[in-house]
Amino acid sequence: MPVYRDAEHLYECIGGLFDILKKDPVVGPKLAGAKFILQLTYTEPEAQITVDCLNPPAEPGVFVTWKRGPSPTPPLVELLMKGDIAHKFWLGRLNLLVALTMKQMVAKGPITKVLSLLPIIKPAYAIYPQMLKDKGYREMAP
Amino acid sequence: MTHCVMIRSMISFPEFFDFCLPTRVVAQVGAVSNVGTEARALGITRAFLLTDAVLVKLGIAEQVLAPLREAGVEIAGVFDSIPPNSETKVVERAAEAARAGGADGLVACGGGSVMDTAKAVGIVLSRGGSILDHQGINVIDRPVTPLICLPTTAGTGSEISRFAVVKDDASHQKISFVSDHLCPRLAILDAALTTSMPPALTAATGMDACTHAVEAYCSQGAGPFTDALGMAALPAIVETLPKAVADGADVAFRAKMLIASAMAGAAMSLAGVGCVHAMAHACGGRRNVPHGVANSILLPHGLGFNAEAIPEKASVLAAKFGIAECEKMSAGARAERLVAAVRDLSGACRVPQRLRDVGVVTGDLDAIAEDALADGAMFFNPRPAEAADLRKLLEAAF
Repeated sequence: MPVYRDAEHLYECIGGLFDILKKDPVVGPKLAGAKFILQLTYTEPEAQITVDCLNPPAEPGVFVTWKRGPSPTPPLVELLMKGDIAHKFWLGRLNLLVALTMKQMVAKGPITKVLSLLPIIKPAYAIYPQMLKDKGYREMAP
Repeated sequence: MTHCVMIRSMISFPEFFDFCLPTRVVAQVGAVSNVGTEARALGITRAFLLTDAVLVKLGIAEQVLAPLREAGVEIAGVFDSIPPNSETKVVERAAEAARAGGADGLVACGGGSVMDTAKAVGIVLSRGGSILDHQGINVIDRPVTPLICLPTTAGTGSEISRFAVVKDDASHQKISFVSDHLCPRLAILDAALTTSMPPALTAATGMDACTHAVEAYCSQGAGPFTDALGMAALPAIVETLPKAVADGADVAFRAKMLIASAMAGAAMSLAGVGCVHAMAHACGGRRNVPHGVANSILLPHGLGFNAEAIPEKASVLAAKFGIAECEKMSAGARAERLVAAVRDLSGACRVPQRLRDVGVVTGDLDAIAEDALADGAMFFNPRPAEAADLRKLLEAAF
């Protein structure tokens, strides 16, 4: 059974993470510095998240924005994966090299841009499990 | 078992590795004469040849076309306008010509740029759209137009690899395509096709092969199969490259280099590379430094940096470079000797030794370090590095 029971659950968890990251004083400015639009496309459950690191948000204290659904303009980078793979990734328990080799992940677009995000989002590996616990999903963050 | 034997036999046994070599390899002097039969066996009825103008002038392209015709394979066209660092617009033009000619198979005869262009043409022919639509990792998820490669240099490993790299003519950045489906169906290693290569190109491409063998072995993606390939290739390159540079007409030296290069290329394709390639890509992007030359200049510096993180592997490399009694040295002394051995090899082959000698200026170093840090090759580097670390290495290589 997939770790996210449906798309709404995925949005609550991964979207919830981006709600924190977009305001995070360390991660937020670095994401904004990436200056591109990232589209995350999930299967099992079907969902899509667009992270806009290109257009500066109007809201003060917010560095990037995210929305449900596809990007209105073509994203520079699209990552495709199952929800379970995404969950493992944000827990910091996914070996990206293995995931790419096993074709559990497709990285569409400039590879350098994809890889440039990895050091930026490292703090999220601690934030995500704590957020799950705070939301009452202790079983998802063992 | 002595300590020395243990060092020499060290290979990686990681928890996970993946090994797939879909390319069939045929090696023989004169094997080009069989390209038509091989093409037919792959179901190719209309072949499109990708090559460069120099190879057409030298008559090498005709050595490929004649056996294709003799075997009853129609020639869908010949595209010989491929520059050393091919670009997306070249790919689009070649794909258009191949489509217009009704090609159902591709034959690439040339160096890395020609073979990478052919792979990209295969993507556009089979998948449609612009080549930019298909960049990334695992985006190509089905077989593409069959490709036969006949390398005329010994270094890139493109004839056997799952990578294609071309320059985006709009952004001037290198863009990459990674997929098992990009492995050519057949690599014909005919050393006679490489004898016209001038000494400087022989040296630079040979040092590229050397860097593939070394960096694949040191890579975080290394596994037992890639170690075996890379470490069999390395001593052959160390021994043969200076001879091939000095006596390019000797087909035996050429054959050994061609085979070692393909083996190192296979190791690189599956294990990945590291900071040397990352910095070389950045130098190529900023200042058009030829890839093999940049790798050659940067290899001692990158290897010296990484040796600290992988002392056992550095010991194996020292042995492969022929350093006597390396097992009796301290790790530091061994690393120093290893770096010196790499310099000796490139020096013996008369490859430029400094970045300043190949068009890089001091003002470039910060930008090159930043570009290198974001390069995909860094993903596999055995030692974590920051931009400041790479800047220091570039400064030392300057």
